[in-house]
Amino acid sequence: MKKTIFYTVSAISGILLAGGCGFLKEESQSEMIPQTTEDFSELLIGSGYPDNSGPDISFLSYLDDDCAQMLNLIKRMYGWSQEDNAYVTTVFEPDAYAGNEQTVTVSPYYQWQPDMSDFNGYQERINENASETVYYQFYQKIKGCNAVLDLIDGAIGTDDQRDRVKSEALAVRALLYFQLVNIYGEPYNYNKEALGVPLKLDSNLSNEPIARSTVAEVYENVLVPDLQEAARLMDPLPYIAGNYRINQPAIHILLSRVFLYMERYQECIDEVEKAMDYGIRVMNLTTEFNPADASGSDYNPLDYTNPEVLWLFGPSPRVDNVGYKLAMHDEFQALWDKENDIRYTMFELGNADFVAEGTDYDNSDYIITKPYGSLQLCQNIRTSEAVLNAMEANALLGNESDALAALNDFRATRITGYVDETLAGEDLLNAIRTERRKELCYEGHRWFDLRRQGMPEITHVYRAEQGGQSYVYTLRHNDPMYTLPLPNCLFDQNSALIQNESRNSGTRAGDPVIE
Amino acid sequence: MMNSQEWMLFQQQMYEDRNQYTTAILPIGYGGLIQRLQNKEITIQEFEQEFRKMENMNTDWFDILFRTAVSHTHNVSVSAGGEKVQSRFSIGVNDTDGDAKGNDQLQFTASSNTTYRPNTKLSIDLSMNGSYRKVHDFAYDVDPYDYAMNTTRAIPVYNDDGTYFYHEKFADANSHSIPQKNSYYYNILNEIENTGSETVSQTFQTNLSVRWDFLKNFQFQGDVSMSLASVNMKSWATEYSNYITAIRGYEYGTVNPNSAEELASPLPFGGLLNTQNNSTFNWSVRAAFVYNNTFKEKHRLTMNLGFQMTSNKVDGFTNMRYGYLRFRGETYATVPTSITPVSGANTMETTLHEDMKNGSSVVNTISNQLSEYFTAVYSYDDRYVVNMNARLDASNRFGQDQNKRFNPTFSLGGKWRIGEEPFMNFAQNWYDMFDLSFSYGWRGNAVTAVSPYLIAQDGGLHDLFHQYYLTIQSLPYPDLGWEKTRDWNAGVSFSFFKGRLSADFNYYDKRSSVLSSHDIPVEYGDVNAYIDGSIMKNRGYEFIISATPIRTENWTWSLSFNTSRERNTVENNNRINSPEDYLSGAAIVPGEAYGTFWAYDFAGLDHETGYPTFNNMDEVPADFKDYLVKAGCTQPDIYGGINTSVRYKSFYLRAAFAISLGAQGWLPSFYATSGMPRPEVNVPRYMFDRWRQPGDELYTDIPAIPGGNMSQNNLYMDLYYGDDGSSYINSSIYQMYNQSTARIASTDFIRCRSISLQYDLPKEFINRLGMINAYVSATLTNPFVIAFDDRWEGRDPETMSWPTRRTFSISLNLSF
Repeated sequence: MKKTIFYTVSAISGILLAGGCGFLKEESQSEMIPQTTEDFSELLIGSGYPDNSGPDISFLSYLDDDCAQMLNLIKRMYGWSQEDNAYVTTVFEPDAYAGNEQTVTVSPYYQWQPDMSDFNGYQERINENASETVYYQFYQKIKGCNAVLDLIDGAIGTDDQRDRVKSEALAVRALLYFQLVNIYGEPYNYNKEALGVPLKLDSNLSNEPIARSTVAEVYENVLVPDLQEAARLMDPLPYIAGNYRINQPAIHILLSRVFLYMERYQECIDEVEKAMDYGIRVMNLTTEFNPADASGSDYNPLDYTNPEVLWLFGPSPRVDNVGYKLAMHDEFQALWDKENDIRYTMFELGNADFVAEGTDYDNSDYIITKPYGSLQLCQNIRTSEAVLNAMEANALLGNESDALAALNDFRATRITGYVDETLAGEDLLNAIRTERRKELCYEGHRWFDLRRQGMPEITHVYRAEQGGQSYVYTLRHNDPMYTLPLPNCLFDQNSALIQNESRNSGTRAGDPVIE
Repeated sequence: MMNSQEWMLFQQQMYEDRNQYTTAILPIGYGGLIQRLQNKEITIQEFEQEFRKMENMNTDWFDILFRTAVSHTHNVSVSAGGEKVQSRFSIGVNDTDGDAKGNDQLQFTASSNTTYRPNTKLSIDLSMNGSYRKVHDFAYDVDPYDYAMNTTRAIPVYNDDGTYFYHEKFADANSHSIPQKNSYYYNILNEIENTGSETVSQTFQTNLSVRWDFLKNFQFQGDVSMSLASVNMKSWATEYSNYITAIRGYEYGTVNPNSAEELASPLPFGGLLNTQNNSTFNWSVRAAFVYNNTFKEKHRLTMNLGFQMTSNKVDGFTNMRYGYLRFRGETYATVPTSITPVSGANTMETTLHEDMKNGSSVVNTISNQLSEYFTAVYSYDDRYVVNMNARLDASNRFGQDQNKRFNPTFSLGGKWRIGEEPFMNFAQNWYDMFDLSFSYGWRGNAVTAVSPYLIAQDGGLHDLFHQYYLTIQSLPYPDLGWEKTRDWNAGVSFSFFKGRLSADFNYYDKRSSVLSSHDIPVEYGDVNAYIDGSIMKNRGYEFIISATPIRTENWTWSLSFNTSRERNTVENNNRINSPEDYLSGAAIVPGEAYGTFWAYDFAGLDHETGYPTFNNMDEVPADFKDYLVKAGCTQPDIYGGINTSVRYKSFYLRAAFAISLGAQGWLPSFYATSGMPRPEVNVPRYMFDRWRQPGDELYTDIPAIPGGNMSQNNLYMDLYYGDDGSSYINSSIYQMYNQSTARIASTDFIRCRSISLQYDLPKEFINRLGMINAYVSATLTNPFVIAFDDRWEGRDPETMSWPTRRTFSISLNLSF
């Protein structure tokens, strides 16, 4: 009885449905189901590519030796003073920003404190919810790449289009895991059996906890094979540059970087050569750079008008915090030949010219014009990194003549009136590493390079308040803090996670500086 | 909460006890006064004077911000009729004041209904109605109740000369114009004057129904209806408000035109206006065939077959624009695109243009629904009744599983009218009706929250990539089943003594398999997802009994009592409950009723420090629940109401009560995780009983003020749990105190919902004026609540944070 009624009703409704077919046609103002490879390409750029919102690795710039607290401020401001009822010049103390809210809030990063992921400098909780963490920002983008990879095989489109989307997804995901494992896992060349990050390679949802894979597994099972597959898929396709998407030379350069970190030097050099096959070149700043361009608020030395830049992506890898004006400190400034090194002007690493009394001056003005902020894409892969990778790989393999020639050629494009130097052994390697430090400063490389290059001892000087005592904080050689601790909130939901050793060390104490 | 004298005493105690603030504070109240004394800005005598003045201030925020709410509702209706045509027309007005000053509503309604019967077989009914409503409300973080409850009474609202008194309030971001400035002046009355929202909504509906007996036992029923609604909402904040001042970076009128400060401000002129307009057009058509026949006097059969189509179209847009000049003809000022901060950082772009772009959007959606239904009722001799319904619904919602587009519903029921049985004839005098009924139903729903396909959302043009892009709205859920519900009901109803005693009892048991959303590890790229089915069981009963003990010419007294009880359980073997689930009542534990929550077991205060201590902290348990004890249930065991009405001649007095027993809830939490309460915040009276020195723990359960410097005072604990003891959460012991057995109260209450008095005007008088009916009534809503646990201190145990809101309304009704 029940079934008869049901069938009668559904028969009638079938008739009505045929008539009212358009009535029930699914409609939505802005939602759609991706079907074609074009759709998946748009989905990848919207959900998988790092853009100006995430993942935000700028906090790493507080950790390395290119950062120092602003204790040498020279600033005066000429303005109306309410109290004195006249125009006066206010002269600021050199340590005017010590004790300031912006300085104190991020001090746990600067001091390498074990609770840096959970508390700020005022001992207030940060990262209370997993959804606030940078870790989650990474996995959101990884989810975007996974979703595209899962469904691209069923999409409508030519094989070429399909291969291109697939290759982009594999390469972008590899970049995301590369940054993630270098923040939370130990360096590959130090302890590759250490715990890395959880690997999520498909877009299925469940609430099963995922354990951390080892650093070796991340590099050997994901980074290398995925980048090689991405290269294999995209190499036969036409080379498109300047469209904010990853392309063939960028994939090869990224792979060369991964090999360099794994100490597979010959493969690193091979990948650089494959990248160079695409006709990419290093810009000769001595002839091609016009210093007059380096002015105005729109100036950006690292966008697609620079012929070296192959791919632009991601949010700013550096901070702009008045308490820690990066590049202002003597150790960094001492690396540069200010007169002749064109990069010093190009990236505006020096002070504004000192002007006479009676007008405003701030020596932290106009420092570092590498892309910054939430309104532009700030990270990049460019040809100079390829050249630097190959140089360092050759030196470490012992091919000193090749390495030296490459170093001299490279410097000749950067420094006016350069005369070739002769270096060997440790000196050559250090010169190459310093060149890398200078070229790629404030682009998200230095902290990772320090880890890879033997985790040397570095120090930070910190003063807690104006006129107070300064303390020196030391990050020792092979210090566990070179591997950052995971935020506590992640353990609530993922019970298979294990915390890094660096979280369990005691508060780092500073040694007083005796003036 | 404390008055100003108590609060000043409390602040003095904290200062003597050397309690500390955790973060920077503003110079308000006692803290500000001590700071000025220490900086030698005032003398000891001036300090004493100010102190006395603050002690006696006792600003009554509730009196300043709230009022007794009175509302008017009035209605006039006219009806006319003849043999073939009858019509009725009415208009009404409702003017309600909210209890916070500045919140009110005005509404007009009109309706008309005409029935035309050309012959006995056909009846056509046309009705139309419309309404207009305007509501004024608060916007942009202005919450009068929150401010009145939580602000100290020692600060004034007016200065001695009558102008507003301003205190400082922190903003979210630093000013670009004045280095390191991040606090601005605030006065609640100024804020209410300079922010607000106004919503105007208009509706119009019309309906045409036809009933046509086209054959002997067949009737055709058709309905066509259409409605139009539009809602316009406007919310604003002017340049004088604190909300806009915090964006601008300096107080209004304190910088010179074209100065560096003005050029550094993202919003030098104007405020903010947000508008939202939506119009909805809805039409529906229903057609049904009804067959009604009686065979051989005893068999009666009614069948009903129908279908219905409904369509709902929404068009609207939202607009957000900075630079709104409310007092200058409601025009707009230009918002700068880039600013040069005074601190010397490079010229930067402002984010306001991006906010405006994201706050503006267009809505254009259409949702359609198609349903078919069939009902059949058969009764034998008016004693046995059997009924059956079946229904199919389908819609055009986006992303549905193509195999599950139709939602079927089916139910079967029977009723035995014992009262009509021959063997009940002996009792014919005293009872009217006695029925037993039973029914069984089954329903399937397609899951609406997610889809078996990947749903993407169009993002438009990406600002930085300069390409069109899509974002993921929801990942695919390939194995979605139906959400199935099956339920059965059994009931008894009877009515005795010509309606003077009647009762109805109904028992139901419903079982549904539903999808529910769970928190998942963030490595999946989402914070929550729909995982697995859970089986939800609702079982309960509803009972209502009414009696009219007195019914004479002048007096009538009727009384009714209703109660219901429901027990819900959820079964799901796969869910892993997180610690927060246990504390909030969302945990699913086999065997426990849904809504059961757990709490930390408070074990008194520590002797040395006055910090709260807890039991069960020694061992590392396998399940986090073992740190806790079962605290209670958020759902009551018994929930019911009593209604009574007394009539004397033309006066009616009605009252309604509600009662709830058996549920528990968390008391409002006061302690922050660290540090003293901030200087502008008011403090509950029980803080006087707090622990101040060793030995106090014998007399009190209120902990000491937490220390200001976190790392020195061990205020955080790592709680390990899990099979291998490696999972843990890090919690402040004060947060644990706020969620411990010391902060649980029972929410049992008896509430008087309303008391109303009505007077029917005398018939002779109104008939002379041409009226059929006229009455006036006055109603008091929510006059009182009796909460059995006095720890609620006047708050309403149902909302657990607000006190009961009383309203008073007057109404006049005339019918012509």
